Amino acid sequence: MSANTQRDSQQKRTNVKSTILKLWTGSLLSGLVLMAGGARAEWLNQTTADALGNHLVDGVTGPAFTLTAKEGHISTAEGSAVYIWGLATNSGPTQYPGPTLIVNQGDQVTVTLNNTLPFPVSLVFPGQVVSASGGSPGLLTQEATTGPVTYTFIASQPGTYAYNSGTRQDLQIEMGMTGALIVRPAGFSPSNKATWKGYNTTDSAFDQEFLFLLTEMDPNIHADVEHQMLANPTASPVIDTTTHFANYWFINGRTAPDTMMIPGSKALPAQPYDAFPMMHPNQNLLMRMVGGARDPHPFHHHANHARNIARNGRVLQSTPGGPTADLSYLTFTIPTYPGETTDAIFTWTGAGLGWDMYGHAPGSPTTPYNAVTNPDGLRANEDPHDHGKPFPVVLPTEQDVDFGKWYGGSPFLGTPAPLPPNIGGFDPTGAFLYMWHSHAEREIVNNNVFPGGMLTMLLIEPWAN
Amino acid sequence: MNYSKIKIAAQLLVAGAFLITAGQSYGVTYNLRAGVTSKTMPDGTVVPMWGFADDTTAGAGLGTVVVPGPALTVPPGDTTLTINLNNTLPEDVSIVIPGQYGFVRTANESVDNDSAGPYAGRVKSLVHVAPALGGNAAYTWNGIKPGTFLYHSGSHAAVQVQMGLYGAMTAVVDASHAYPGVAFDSSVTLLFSEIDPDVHAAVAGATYGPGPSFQDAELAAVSASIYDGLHAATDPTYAYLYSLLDPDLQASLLAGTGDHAALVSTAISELLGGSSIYNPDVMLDSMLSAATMDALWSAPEVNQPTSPVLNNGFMVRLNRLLLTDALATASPAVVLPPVNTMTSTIRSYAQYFLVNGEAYNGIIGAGGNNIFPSAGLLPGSRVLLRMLNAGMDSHVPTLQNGGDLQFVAEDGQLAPYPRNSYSVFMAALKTVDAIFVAPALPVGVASQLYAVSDRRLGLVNGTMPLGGMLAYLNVGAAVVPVNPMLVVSPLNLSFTATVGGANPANQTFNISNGGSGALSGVSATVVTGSPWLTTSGGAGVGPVTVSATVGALAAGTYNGTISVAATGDTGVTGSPKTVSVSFVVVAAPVLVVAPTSLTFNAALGGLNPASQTFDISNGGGGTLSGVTTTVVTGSPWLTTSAGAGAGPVTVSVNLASLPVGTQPGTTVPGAITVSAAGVTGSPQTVNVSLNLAALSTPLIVAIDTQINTGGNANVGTTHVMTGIPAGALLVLTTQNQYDGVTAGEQDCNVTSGGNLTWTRRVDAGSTSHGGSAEIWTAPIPAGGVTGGTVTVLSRWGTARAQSSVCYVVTGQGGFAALPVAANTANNQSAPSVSITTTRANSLLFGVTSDYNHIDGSTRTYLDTATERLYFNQPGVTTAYHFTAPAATIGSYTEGLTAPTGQSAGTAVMEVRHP
Repeated sequence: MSANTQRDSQQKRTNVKSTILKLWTGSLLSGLVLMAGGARAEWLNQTTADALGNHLVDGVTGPAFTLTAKEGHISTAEGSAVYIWGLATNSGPTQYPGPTLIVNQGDQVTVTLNNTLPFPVSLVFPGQVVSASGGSPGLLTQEATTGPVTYTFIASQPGTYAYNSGTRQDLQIEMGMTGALIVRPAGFSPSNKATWKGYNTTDSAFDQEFLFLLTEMDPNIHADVEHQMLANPTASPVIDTTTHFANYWFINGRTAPDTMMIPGSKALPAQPYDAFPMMHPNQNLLMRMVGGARDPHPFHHHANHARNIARNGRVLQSTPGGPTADLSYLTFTIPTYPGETTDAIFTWTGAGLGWDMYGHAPGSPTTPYNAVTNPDGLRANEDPHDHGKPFPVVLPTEQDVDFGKWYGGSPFLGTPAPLPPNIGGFDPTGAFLYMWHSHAEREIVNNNVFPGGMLTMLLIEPWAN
Repeated sequence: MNYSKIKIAAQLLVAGAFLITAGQSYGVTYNLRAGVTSKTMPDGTVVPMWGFADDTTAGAGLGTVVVPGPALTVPPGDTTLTINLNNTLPEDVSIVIPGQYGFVRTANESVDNDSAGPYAGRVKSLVHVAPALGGNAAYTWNGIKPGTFLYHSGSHAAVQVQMGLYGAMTAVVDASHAYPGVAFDSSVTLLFSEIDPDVHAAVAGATYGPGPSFQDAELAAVSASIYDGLHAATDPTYAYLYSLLDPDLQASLLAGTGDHAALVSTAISELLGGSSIYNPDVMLDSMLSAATMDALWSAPEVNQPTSPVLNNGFMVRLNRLLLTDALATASPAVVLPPVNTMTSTIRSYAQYFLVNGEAYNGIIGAGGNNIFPSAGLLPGSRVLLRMLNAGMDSHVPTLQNGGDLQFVAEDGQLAPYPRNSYSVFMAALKTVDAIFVAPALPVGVASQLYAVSDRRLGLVNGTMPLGGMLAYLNVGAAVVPVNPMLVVSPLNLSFTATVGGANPANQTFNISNGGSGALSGVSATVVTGSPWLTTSGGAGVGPVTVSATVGALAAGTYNGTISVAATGDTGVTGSPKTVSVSFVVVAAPVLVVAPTSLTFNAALGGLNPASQTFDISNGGGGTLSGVTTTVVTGSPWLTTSAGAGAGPVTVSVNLASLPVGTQPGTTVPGAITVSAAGVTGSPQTVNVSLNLAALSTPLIVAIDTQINTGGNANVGTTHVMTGIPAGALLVLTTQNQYDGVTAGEQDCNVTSGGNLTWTRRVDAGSTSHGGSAEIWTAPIPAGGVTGGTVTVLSRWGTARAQSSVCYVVTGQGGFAALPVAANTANNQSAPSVSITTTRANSLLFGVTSDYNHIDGSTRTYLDTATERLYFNQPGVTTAYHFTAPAATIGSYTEGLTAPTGQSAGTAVMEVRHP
């Protein structure tokens, strides 16, 4: 891939996101989108892609963090605003979920928590052995009232972890105080893709990395809390959380289709993180799954199985410290439990489809494609058994078909085809798109409006020729 | 807990001499009573519960009904559990233990259905029941497995489990092992459950269950008529009952006086008078006659007990009242049904979340009701954490700040590999076992609490925060017991050896005194049945050496136990202890090689044959080591990959390394030796045969095409050829085009360089048109080409287009036979040229250059030529490069029949078969 095509690839990703956003959200937001991507230090202070456009998780790097518990509102895609108690970086705007904290294995991590809310708050980091100083004692840890609390721990083991409030968890987690902690394995460097691994195991290497922090909310609780806070700003709200009945579902704090809006969109000031996985064929995509709220969510990823390599920051292996996740297993639905995490390696090649997804004609020589990637003349991981096998369906004529917005005009990867005016548009590069969503399909709505909720799309971009 | 007599006898034996051995089996019996109790929640709410009591004697009623039920333990050595169940509840109750497979079935486990009535045929219970209100049943399980299990009611479980009929049943391998290989020092049980007080109130208030039910159409019609007539727009199931029971009637019933039938008739008549909705005939026939009414209303539930249990609509309730009165029972309890009836648990919302039967009272530290165990766990000790979820919802107990829990079992099944995690997802009725290594205490701290909280957020008591499913594990300072305490470490040993091989190295475990005073009467005894296992030492504190002797043991895994006891002091604790020893005897390794012969076929002067493999494997047990793979001296053409252990070995043949003078038609032998010192079956030999044939025809082993167009600069095109075999010949067919300026033929210019010498062999040029078609050759020098590659430079003077093809030809006749046959021609139509070959099986190389640049998109070659390159630059030139076989000596005409109209030069050359 030449330097030019590298830039093209990155630009293409941005274009696709912008296009999708504009078309899905209509004219209301399209003007705002173009302004996105300004100052972003509060939720993102690191490089999240290498020179080839390969993606790392958005977040804030440590090892020292200052977070502030702060009230605010988030937007849901059907048009509601929901009152939250979120976590801000330093004194920045509150956000949901809390900042994704990214540290390196062996770091001594310090998280200082300030509190602007009229009742105690705290943070717990399951899987870490934390010492807390300041504040006053609580059920699970030291709590911040007026002054700050500082939590300190050694990030001794790499992996994906959850963190969340440790005070009145039944309400404060519901209200938004939840986030993800990522510990990079020793030797990891964002600028050197050869070091990109989830763990100190060979089979945790990845090309693309995405976080899926799954949460839900009961909007009635939030409305009730907001009313009580308005009526008495200094008191702790009295809420019955046992009748919790969720009606919003989020990935990284956003409901679909906002999940696919660009990160840092100014249309979503309190929800900076997107959830729009992208990859090229034959790349490895690390799925970092985090259960952030109170319910389990079965996350179903179309297109292929994924290999579960770790749970709760511990590699699935028969011998701890071994070279591979020898107890890993394949699934197509990842049950994401509250407070727990799963790491899975997803890949997609098109092999085994039974037809040539690159659209080679029968008898087509493999030689012209030498230049693409593979020395055997096949496209990137093209299944040799399917080379030259035509798409098995005769496509209907224009008069007989209704085109979807995701349709590129051709069944072949990387082959956009002419479409009637005002048709298509989400897929200018002939990419393949697969829906990734909660398999509890009640959860792919926004306050009963379908589609929405815990849903996004995987975009498989063809390699640049 | 009550032991049967035989069990008591066994206990005495154990206490006396620790003589218990495998093969004996004993039973343990519990007498449980299902009954009513209540719990007071931290917010003051009193919740009616059902639970189990542990009676010393069946029916004695001495135990207290508790929730969760009594912890049922089956001691090591026992294999049978019997539960005698006495049921004082108003519903049939039973007991199941999922995961204990030795349940002894009685004759009618699966037919315990309603025999009659509206639900006849419906399964009510998973196993046979202890009937309501005093019934008894016995349950027996054989082959009790060690592990953590839930026992709970198997009847109407949606209600009865929620009401509290559950508890923990546990068994261990021995006093120090929860499962085989899972050692522990102490255990803590965390049993999670929930309470929806509405369900409990409805069950206690007899308003739980389905709505009105009628057995015949007439009753249904009557019900509908009354209902519709009185409360057409309202729904509560019992609204019509309220109306029916007018004050006069209620008072009369409560007092137990009066003519009830008449009163009811009158009441109904009054209430229904004037309504046009109901069918008067039905009402008159069935309601206004007291006799009919009694008969009718007696039908559904004649045998219904007097306590308020079921509600099948107002007919049943009224009937019960009348019956009660008719039986002249004193002060019959008339219970008006509440409006807030609960028909099922489908909409149950838990309000209280319990650990070991208690919702957390919100007090941190001392005074908290959620600290386990109260005495404190020894820092550094291995704590077996038994977690059970008896609730209807899932829970995620999460350990804070305590490091990893090591999860060793699920549902009482030992996991093949332990998993480390800070939390675990527990579905309803799930059990999980984890090892919690109690952390060391900070200096100066006497005890420390580690929270285990529900990450599904059952952390409230109703609407009150600071409650629910939060437990603390209590790690306390090591308190030195006042008496001697037997401490043995480690509790697991594992040996490995080979059949017939050397004995494994001895191992030790240590005996020490964790308490006060002196430990006396210490003994370490190998439990009978493991003659391969011996100990030395063990008569007091200190190390005990354990030896495993292979002897004549066959391959397999042998398990033995060493019983350690200290019997010299009456107050000694921690005795006895059991050390588990496993001895894995593996079969000796056997060197196996397959296949033991390989055959390669190749043509002398041709390409190297494809590599082949043979496999080295271990045909026995253990580990195959010290493997070496060597080629027997004298076969420099034969090489192998490392072959230093089990796995495939790649064998390669390099024809260039064959001895000088090797002739085609022969077979060259070679051999490879695989050996492993001291291993059975070593060494092994793989025989290699290389069959050499002669090449049947000159062979093109590499080919490269180049085209250069545009501009008049004197720029060449380069063929980079690699891997040229010895004895090969380079053949270059090339053509260029007249530059339009220079007079005469414009010859190609091929430059010799390095140790490569190029010679133009054929030249078909046109002086009138200036272009040229030529064939050049260059032999590979005897020493080969330096660096393993050869660069062929082909260029044209100042012509405007040029194409060339470079071939690497092996198996050719060699340049000693020069000159090669060659011919040229200049044609004005379709170009062709004839050549007479000089040997059979030769190969012809040709090139045609058309200075008239006719479009050759549609072209036809003469003979059986294979096109190697077609090149057309409109307005400049057209070129055809081809090869053709020539099987016999004779004349061949090569070229094209189409397109015509060319002005072409054609060059053809024979490269001879040897």
